Amino acid sequence: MTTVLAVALDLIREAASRRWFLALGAGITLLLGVAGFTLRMDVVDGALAATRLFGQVLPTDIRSVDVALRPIFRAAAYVIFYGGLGFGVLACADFAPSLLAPGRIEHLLALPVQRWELLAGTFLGVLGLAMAGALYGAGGLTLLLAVKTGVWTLRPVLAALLASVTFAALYGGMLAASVFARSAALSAATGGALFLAGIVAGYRERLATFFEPGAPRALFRAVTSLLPRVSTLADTSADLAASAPVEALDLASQLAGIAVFGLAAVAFGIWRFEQKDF
Amino acid sequence: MRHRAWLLAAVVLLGLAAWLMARGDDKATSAKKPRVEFPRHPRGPEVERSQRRRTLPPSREVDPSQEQKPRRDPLLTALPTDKATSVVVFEASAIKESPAGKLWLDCMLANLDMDSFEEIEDEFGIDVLEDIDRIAASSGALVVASGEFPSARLDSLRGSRRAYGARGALFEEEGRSPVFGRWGDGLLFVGKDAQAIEAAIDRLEDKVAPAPPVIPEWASYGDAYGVLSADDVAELLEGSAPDIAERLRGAVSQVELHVDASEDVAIVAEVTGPVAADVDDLGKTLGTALSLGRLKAQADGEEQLAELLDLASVSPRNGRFSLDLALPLPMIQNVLGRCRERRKDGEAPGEEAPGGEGGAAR
Repeated sequence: MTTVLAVALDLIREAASRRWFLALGAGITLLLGVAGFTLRMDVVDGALAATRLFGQVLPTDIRSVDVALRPIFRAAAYVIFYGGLGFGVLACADFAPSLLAPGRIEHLLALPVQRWELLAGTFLGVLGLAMAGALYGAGGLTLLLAVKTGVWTLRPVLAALLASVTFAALYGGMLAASVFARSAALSAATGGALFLAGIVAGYRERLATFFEPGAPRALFRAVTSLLPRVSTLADTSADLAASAPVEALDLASQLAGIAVFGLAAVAFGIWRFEQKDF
Repeated sequence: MRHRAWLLAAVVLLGLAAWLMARGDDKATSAKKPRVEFPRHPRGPEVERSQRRRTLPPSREVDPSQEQKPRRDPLLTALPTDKATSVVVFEASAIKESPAGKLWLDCMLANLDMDSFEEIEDEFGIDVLEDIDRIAASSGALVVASGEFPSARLDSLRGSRRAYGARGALFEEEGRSPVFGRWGDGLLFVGKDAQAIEAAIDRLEDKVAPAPPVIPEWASYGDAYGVLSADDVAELLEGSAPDIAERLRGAVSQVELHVDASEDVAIVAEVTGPVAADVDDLGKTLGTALSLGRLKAQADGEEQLAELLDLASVSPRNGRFSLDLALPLPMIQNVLGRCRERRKDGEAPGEEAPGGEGGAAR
């Protein structure tokens, strides 16, 4: 386990040396800056909420600011969740292919590190980076909303944490794909495909009714049952951000399932990695 | 061999992941329950219902220039027309089918220490669940029930029967209150005194100058509806919010009420007054009070009250405002469900369980 952590830390060090952190931070800061300058949002009159969004006054029901702003926090959670996942897929697509680059992989395999430790360490390192980026982005957006509206809540950060767990499932698939074919494009495509398929899987019960009863519906159910429920967690993160009630057991079950899916994908990648000659 | 172990681990983990994710599927992906629907205008069936109930011929003193004289709803016509009177109509046939209504009926039976309404049917010839369509209660000490009462036996309540008007009858006894009455087979009355019932029959039989009903026919939508006078609402608030009660007396002329009990109980109160600015100010005061109440409930850890106030809002517009309140069904079940438990525990009706309704009523 120590070796796995050492590999993860090594990946993070390398990311720092390649100014990857700088690029990630700059990208997120740029997005936050755009949001900060374009979002015209003022809450006036103390407890009486009159909210302006893009210069338009929202319906002026008299209610507490945190209640009036729930739709905003819900939207922010979706932006953080889906935006963070999309950004993560694109930004992290190159890590595994560069690890497996000729010259570098031979050097790594010459070290007293087992193959599975190398892959697991890479997985952990990328997840650490993605979580740091997500927390920075969500924290920044939360701070921005708090300064503009006066409502301080950490709920959008919860959305980022859920997105990080979901990213584990996507990145597991991306890592395994990179082992099969060393290509950043294939890695990103796998992440993107899992992302989209996961949105469909989240609505599988409703979408299943569009298929003919019998074999087509059963096939759809069987295929989607294996996929991470990306949209389910996105909806849950929005509910959490908007203070809507969430079934804790269902959420825990979904989170555990998605994390285990990521581990399954990594195990599959390790199986292929163990067989390869470099 | 070691390679296969990783493949096996991948397959097992994938199966475990699928099982874990499928556990939350049903609840997570089922169609979301819509937010509470507030009754803000009559829906199609309610418009039809209102038209169907206009069985009373038009008033004889209606403006002769009006070509089409409107027929009237007997129950609304029988109610007092004084604007200072509060009147609330309960759609018994709709409420008895609603989840909250069923719980309320259970509670009613528990408080009467009865197993069913059959005892009432045996004694008075009224099937409470089938015969009664609507019940209207007014602060003018008159209750009117509409429905089908061909076999009602009110003489078992009061010995003396006195005919009044063309179709009316009063059942009374010297010095005993309330007085009972009926008009045809469709309306029953319970009044503080005989005058209240006689006045209702006079309105139905056009023996008094016609006045617009206190609840206009177009406003008879929802599972319960009515109008409350400023004084009656202020009296309700006197104990808990005396400042608001005082302001309400000065600013409000009438509060129109509509309640939907089809699932969660949603209440809309339209508040109007003679001076638009005063009504606006009162709306802001109420809105702020609700917000502060919610924050306090959250801070005090009173989740039920916070949830209740979460769904409350005030929407001001053009010198009037609408106050929305919702009572989620689980909250009602929590409060009214105790009646059943009380009966099971063999507690006397009306006796309160320890830590009981006081908190919930708040």
